Amino acid sequence: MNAIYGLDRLRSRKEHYLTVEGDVLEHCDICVIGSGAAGAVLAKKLCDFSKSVVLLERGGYFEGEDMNQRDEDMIPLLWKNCAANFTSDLRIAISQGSCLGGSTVINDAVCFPLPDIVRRQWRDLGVKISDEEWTRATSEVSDSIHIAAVREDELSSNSLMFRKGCELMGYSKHHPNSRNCFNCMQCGLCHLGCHYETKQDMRVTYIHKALNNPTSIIKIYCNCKAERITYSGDIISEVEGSFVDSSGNIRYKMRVNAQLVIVAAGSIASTELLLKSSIANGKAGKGLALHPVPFVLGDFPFEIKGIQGIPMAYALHDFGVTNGVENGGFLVEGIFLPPLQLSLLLPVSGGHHEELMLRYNHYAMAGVLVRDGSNGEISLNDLGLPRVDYSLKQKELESIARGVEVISRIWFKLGASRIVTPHMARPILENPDEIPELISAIKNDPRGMLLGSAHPQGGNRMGNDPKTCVVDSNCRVYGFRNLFVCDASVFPTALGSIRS
Amino acid sequence: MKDGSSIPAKFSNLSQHSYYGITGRIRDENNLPVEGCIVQAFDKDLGIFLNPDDPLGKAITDEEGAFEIIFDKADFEDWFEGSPDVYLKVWDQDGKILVITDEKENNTHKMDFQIKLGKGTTNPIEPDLYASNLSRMILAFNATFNIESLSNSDIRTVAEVLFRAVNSWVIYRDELASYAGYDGIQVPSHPRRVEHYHVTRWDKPVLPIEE
Repeated sequence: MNAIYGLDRLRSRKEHYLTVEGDVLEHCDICVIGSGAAGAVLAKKLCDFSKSVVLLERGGYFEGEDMNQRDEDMIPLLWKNCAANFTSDLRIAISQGSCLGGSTVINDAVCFPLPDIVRRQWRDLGVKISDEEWTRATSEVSDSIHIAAVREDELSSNSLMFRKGCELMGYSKHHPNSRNCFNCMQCGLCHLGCHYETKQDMRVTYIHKALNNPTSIIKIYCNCKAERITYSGDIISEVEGSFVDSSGNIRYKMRVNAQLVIVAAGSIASTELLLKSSIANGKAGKGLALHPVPFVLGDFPFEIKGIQGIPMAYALHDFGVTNGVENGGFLVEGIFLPPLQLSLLLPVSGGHHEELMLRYNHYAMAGVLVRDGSNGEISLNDLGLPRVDYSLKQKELESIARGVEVISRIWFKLGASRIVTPHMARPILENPDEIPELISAIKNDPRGMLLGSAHPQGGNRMGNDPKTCVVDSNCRVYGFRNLFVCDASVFPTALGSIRS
Repeated sequence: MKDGSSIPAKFSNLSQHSYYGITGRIRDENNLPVEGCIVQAFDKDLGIFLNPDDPLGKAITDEEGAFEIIFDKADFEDWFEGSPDVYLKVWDQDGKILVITDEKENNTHKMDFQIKLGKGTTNPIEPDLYASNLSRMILAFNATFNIESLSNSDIRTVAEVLFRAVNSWVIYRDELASYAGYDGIQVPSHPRRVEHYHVTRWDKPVLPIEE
């Protein structure tokens, strides 16, 4: 019987749920590792083709009613490593989900189509996917997750401030985002899971459909971390894993014998699994991009209450790949964060930190989404845990500096009394004349910045050269007949925009 | 005023007049808009018989589930209160009550209610999923800092910044919520144990920028 399995003794759940009580051994056609944007779509479509599927998910199973809108409760339940997911120098906080539905449960639900420039660049790098295939797949997913543009009456105060700023500064390409949200309740807390199930994440769309299709044969194991893929020659034989409870204790073991294995655990975790299994050594982990984001807050003399409404509803495209910028570039996004996350990106501490937090309702906020080069690398440290090394190069620093300047000028133009920057050495600006000092700090002391990242991409590059690429254009891992990697880790370059 | 017949030009002028504006949308359990719901706003008053709640205005949702109610100071003002404690009641076309929102004092003159019909199922013996979450979070952050070389003063600085941010949240969050006026939480702390309606209510500040 199709079911979700997990360690907790859950009772009133919408899907059929069973508690795991001992070690598990499964046989199936296909084992999918990871239930996020890629894994869930794959699992459902494979069920449609009458394959028996076992889906492994490291995180837990949570429904709308479990989302209690409190940072300190939901981040440990839904976010990978309780949001303590950083690059090795702690400068970039990487947001990823670890729960049934993956990062789609904690994202802002913003969707852009794949920019034409990126399609062309990937083709030049050896990705053999035709325009027809892209278009067909994209429109199928778009329909399933109900992508629609944000309406005028849905723009929050923060979005309205940002829009007004773009108009006053004379920018030409700015508009509301499209989101996979169906009649959004506008609670502003997308990052903490959608209590109302209006956000069309993987759990309420593809996973729900897979479980409730009477011809599906699917078992979803939550709280189950895949640890090793074993193989003989070029054939994968088994996936080994453990059921890990919320205290970090290993309770039971998991083994899946599958005809075919698809790794869809997201950037970083997919590479971690390959490296631990001694697969694609020397190739896996190279070429990670992060879309680093500096945030800039404007502190205004009047209340804005940026948390009231859709957090990421409006974007400025003048400087980005979506406006024809071939190399690098950036988007500027209006965005607001719940209090704990906002507190993590303030570049100050102690009493100054508290003083800034008390101005929470007076902030307008925006971020710079930088289309970076593939500057990062994932490896395993001595404890066997993944380590992300990443450095900003000249191109990224130029984009960050330019984008931070754009936002700072917008907030001052609208009447901000001061700006809170992403730089620890220059955290506050009192007037626009101080902007050049901030730009100088960014370019000369990049390690003074605290940045966010919501889009780790790459690490298991797709392409037609087996010596440098991990997977081919069909996502098959070079050197294996029945192993695939299919998630954002296969992107050859950064996208530059957002795809949920 | 109660039937919305003389609606002022722009909501943004509301606080300069004595008008208050309520907007909202109603969707059903499948997120589809619900047409024909009757929505009435009330000002909650102390006492029940001698001081019944003031009705502030009524509207019917359109094909997009949207409604709009405008009311005036005169509709609620009495000796005790200068600002209304607003709540909504929603009925279906047959007169069956669907939602009663919590009351909350409004002084921004502008409110928005997003409502989703239906209540979640409750079960008192559901496990407490949130127990020890905060300590898990602090341990996860602490472990991250220990793994990296903290003899590198560069990293230690950042570690301190981040750790203090998490710590300050633990210490200050209730203060921050009340002093900073954070009103983002609109569901119970244990939603599966407490029956509740699904309402997002925003008392929206009027922005001094032209809209």
